Amino acid sequence: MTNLFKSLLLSVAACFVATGCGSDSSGPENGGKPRIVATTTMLADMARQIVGDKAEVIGLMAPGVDPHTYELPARAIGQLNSADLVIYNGMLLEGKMGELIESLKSKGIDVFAAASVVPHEKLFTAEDLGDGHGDPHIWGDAELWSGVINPCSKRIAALFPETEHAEIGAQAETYEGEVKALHEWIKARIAEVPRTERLLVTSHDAFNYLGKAYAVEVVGVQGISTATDAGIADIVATVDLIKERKAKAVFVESSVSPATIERIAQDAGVKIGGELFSDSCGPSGEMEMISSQEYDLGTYIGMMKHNINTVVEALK
Amino acid sequence: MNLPYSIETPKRTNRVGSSNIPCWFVGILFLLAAPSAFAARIGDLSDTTVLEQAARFFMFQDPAVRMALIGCILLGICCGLLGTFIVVRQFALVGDTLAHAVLPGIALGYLWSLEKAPLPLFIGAVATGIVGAVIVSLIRQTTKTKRDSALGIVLGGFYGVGILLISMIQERYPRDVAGLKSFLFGSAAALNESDVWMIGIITVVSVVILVLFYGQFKVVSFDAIYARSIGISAQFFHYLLMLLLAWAVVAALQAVGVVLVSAMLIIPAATAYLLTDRLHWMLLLSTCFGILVAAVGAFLSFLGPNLPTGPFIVLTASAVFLLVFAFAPRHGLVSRWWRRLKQTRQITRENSLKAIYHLQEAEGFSEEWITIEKLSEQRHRSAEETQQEVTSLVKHGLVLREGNRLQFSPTGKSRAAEIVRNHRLWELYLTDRANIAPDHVHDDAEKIEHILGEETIRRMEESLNLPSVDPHGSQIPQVKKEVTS
Amino acid sequence: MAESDSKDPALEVHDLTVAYHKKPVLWGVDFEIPAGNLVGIVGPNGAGKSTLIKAAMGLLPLSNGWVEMFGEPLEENRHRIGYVPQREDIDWDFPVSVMDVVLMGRYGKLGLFKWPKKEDRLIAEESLAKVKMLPFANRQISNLSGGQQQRVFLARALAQESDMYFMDEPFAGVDAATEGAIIELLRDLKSKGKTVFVVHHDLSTVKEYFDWLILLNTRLVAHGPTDEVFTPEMLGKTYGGQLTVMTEVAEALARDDGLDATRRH
Repeated sequence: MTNLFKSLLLSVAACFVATGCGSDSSGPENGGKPRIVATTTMLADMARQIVGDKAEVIGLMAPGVDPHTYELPARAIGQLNSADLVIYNGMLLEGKMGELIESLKSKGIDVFAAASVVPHEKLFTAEDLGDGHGDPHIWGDAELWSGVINPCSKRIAALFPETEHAEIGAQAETYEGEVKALHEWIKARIAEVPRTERLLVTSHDAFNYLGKAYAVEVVGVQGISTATDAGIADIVATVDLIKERKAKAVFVESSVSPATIERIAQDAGVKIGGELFSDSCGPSGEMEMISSQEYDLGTYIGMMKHNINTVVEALK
Repeated sequence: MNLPYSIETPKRTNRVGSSNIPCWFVGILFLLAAPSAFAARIGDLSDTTVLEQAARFFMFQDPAVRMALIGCILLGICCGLLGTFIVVRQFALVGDTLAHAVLPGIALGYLWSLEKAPLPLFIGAVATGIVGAVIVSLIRQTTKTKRDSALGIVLGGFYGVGILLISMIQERYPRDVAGLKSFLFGSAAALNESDVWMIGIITVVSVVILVLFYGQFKVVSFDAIYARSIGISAQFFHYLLMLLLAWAVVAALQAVGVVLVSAMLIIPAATAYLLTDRLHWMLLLSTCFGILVAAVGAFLSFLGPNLPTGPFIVLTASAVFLLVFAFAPRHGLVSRWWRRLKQTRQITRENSLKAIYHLQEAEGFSEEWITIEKLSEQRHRSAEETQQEVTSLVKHGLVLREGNRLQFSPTGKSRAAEIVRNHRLWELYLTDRANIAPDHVHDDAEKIEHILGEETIRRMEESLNLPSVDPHGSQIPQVKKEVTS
Repeated sequence: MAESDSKDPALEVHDLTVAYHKKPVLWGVDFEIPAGNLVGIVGPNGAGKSTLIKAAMGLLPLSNGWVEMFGEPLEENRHRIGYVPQREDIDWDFPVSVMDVVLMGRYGKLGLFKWPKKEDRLIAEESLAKVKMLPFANRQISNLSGGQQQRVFLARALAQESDMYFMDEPFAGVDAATEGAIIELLRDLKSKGKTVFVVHHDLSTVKEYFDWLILLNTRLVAHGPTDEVFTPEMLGKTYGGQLTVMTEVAEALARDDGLDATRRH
């Protein structure tokens, strides 16, 4: 009996050792492609738009995952450790994961933080907000976001031999142009909403940059991070605000529980204008068509268009 | 905090966070350039004072306030009642175990229905909760693992499985994970009508079942083996209780979250336990405390922005427990300390009376007046201390004072005689009946003299045949006491 | 009621075997006891005396054998048996009063919702009076001495108004006065035709107290009227070393080495 038990124990231990040692195939082994690991779907999309098939791009978070409370599964650690370049947002969007990713530098892995290349005066830092931390939702401002593409592409190009750099640079420039065009498109659409109606009420404070860039007043029930809850007082205050301003709609978010907004909508007698993708893109490959335009919700541009369309249609 | 204000919105009075940038400047900026309308958390925009918030709470106008309050109060009732039974059975941590055991059920319920409708989640949660309770019983019955370890095993194991399932769901269906996780962390603020209805039904069912089967629950909790011997199935009622608990836990999860459910079950009941030793009173008190802390917690969480309700409820419960712990009439820390203090003071006074009596006795009761000096000698105390003692005696009407001397008041005289009598009688009793040597009895009598009751004295006097002299030859004073029938 | 069953023995046990973790605690116990007797159950520590009572009352699963009371299976007769357990199994801080505990004895007679009526209270009070604990009716149970606690449990069983009682060491840790009071009560019960089984540890009082005896040491050593059974020879078999072979076999079986262990002897 004890012998059987011992051999059972040994085989279980052996399994653990095997899985621990076995890691995902690293760069050189998967057909020679460099491996880029990005945290959010927006960053993964940016990397793919820049580099196409030339590199393997892995997005850690699936669409709809909340980056503020994302917990790193064991497999992801393996992927991070075997990456050639890790791209993350920074400014504590990914919580403590940022520290972990920075520490990868000591292992010779290149690390790129999107927020680090944004001009300081354009960021909402901790001092601005009088809070413990700054606002990391920088992709809300398309123009700001377009400024990240070039530095990002340079780091990606560094993974390749010189001969490839031109092509990568050209792809990056094309994408940058698309995002800048998005910025103009957004401005035009927002203009359809009278200034007084531009009140965007959502679950958490994810749209500050969007609000500033496009002259929309944004109110989040929870704070910058979804980790803090909304209290009863917050719900009541939001209802007051909506009634006072006669807002037309409130919005739920894809990565946060809709319960709070549903409660507010009911109490204020206002409709829910739709679901916004906050902190994440939509499901990859899902196409949406608004005013004869079709776009992939899984891309940054698609996500932004969806959000803006939803807001504008509800508020105008 | 700087909040460049957005234009064309009606200006609210008393806005907190007044900008460092004067309004006219903002207006010019607007005219000149793209306006920077800005955003904020609603909590930062609100500017009400604590008093205003308090007043608003009691108007009960806001549905959010009403829902949260009613929901939490119902939970308080439910948890107070059920918590009583698990506290007296020394099974209190089953609440925590169930709170963790329902997690895989929630995940499974979601996987089965693939939507976040409340019913499948609820059924799944209760199912795994009950399975957890069954496994706890099985572990205890088949191994020598004790109650606490068995609970811990199920708690950890089920929670681990639950987290695993939720991670899987996060991978496959990430859009709904946020809602599932909210099941765990709870938000009383987001309770809607159907949530409150569910809590209400669970509370009513629990109350009805506990009242109808009160006798069975009582005997099964007290003496399960005896219950079986008279034909009451201890197993059935145990699992019925577990079922009610699982329902209550799932309901409570939504309001206060997984970590605090256990506290809501245990603390009101434990507080009630400090105040009574009857089960029915304990149930009543526990329910009252449950209602109280729920209401106060909800109120406190309303006073400012971003205050979660669950922790405030639990903090209130803990505060109430500490208050009762300190001030409970019989067993409270402060009550006991106070009683001891009063007792010590009374003994000091009586010893003073005794000393005065001895002084008078030494003179053969010829002189009624005693000087304070002599008293201080007799008592081996300093002059100051004696002065204080005398003041205290005067205050209690035991002694009359004239300048530097004092004598007994009638009450004081009879009390002094009683003490001395008690002392001498006890000495006699010890030497006569307990065969203790006369020189050993004094110290004992010093302590006993203060606490002998009239009944005991009477019996001793009878048994010693109304003696008049103690082992040292001193007179035993006769004290006439009215016989109260 | 006892008269109508006078043909049936009060308790009949056949080939009763109870095992705990594969070790037999009672083995092939077989006896019949007629009604209206004070029966002592006697044997060394670990002989299975408590187990016998609990098994007879269906509180333990039987590995083998059956039990009948008054000629019928146990479940039909639950309302006719009263149980006085050992004192240690209780949480004395439980918030109940002496009266609460004694009233529990009436639960067997109450309907689905156990709400005691006035007559139940009266019976409970009478039972308390019989054990001289009525003045303590409103005390919480921890404020009692050992002997007083024992008497409360006795009162609870008396309140059941049963025909047969099982008492597990009712005299343990009890002062002489209480012991005397209890044996008086038992004799009173016997005079009313009740049958009382008592697990007893004090051999010096066995002859005085009991008119029927069960001598037990995992196996039934003997049973019958005290005069016949309480002999040095029987006592030797119960307490002496003559059953060691049996216990060795029992241990070996428990270790699951099969009977190889015995063959080595």
